[in-house]
Amino acid sequence: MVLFLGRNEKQREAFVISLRRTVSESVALRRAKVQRGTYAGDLVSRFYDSLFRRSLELKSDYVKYFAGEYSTFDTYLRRQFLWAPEVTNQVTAVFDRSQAIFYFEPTYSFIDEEYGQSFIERVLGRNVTE
Amino acid sequence: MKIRSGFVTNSSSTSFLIISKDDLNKSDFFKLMGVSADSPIADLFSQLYRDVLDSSSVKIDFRVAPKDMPIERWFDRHRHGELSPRMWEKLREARKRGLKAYFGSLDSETSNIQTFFCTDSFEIESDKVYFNGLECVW
Repeated sequence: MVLFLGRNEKQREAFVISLRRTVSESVALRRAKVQRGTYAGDLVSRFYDSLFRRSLELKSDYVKYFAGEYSTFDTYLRRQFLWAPEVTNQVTAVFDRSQAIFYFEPTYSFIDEEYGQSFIERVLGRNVTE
Repeated sequence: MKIRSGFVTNSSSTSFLIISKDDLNKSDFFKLMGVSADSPIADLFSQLYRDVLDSSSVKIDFRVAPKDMPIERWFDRHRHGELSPRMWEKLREARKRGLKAYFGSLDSETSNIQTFFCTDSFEIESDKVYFNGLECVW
């Protein structure tokens, strides 16, 4: 699932991305069919880094730090992020099927509502939770 | 009355210079960028390829260009400031080697994809193509 959330309080566009399995950087580069060390390779590497290394992974954040405070993942999403039920319902629905669920603020300007969703799905491919 | 929320920035443009052995073609361009033609994100680079071709306002084939004509004459006087010392250096080298040069600018007021490349700063080279996109002015 790649869910576009719109602009957050910092006026940054944001997504929730759930993955059945996380992938290594090498796999992401191979899947994108770009060569490491080239312009396109660096572009995908920076995207990978911003998603997998610098985004908040909601599932582990909840399990490690908030499960004692909030009895359900849905409550955690509502109270911590003040997301509407139509958002939390969708994110909660993929909890069991996902190895990781990222809250992602893109660093590339072209990863927006129109093009961004399809770009993310194409780079991550079948690893995106349906 | 209009109310704009979020950041407001100036529009901008970025000069670029491409030097190529032959006419610039998509295959050499993709090789330079390091992306396969069947990549799931090939459209991003196809767009950039089209944008640089469409935005090349000065095209010089140094194989047939008059040898005694100063390179500066290819550019309007007001354009001179858009070329960095590095670009002039590469143009002089291209003339010596009889290569082709494409100069133009990308504009942040077009597509999101062009805006992105307009804000990125890079210099890359393969055995056939040199691409100077260093003049990011954001």
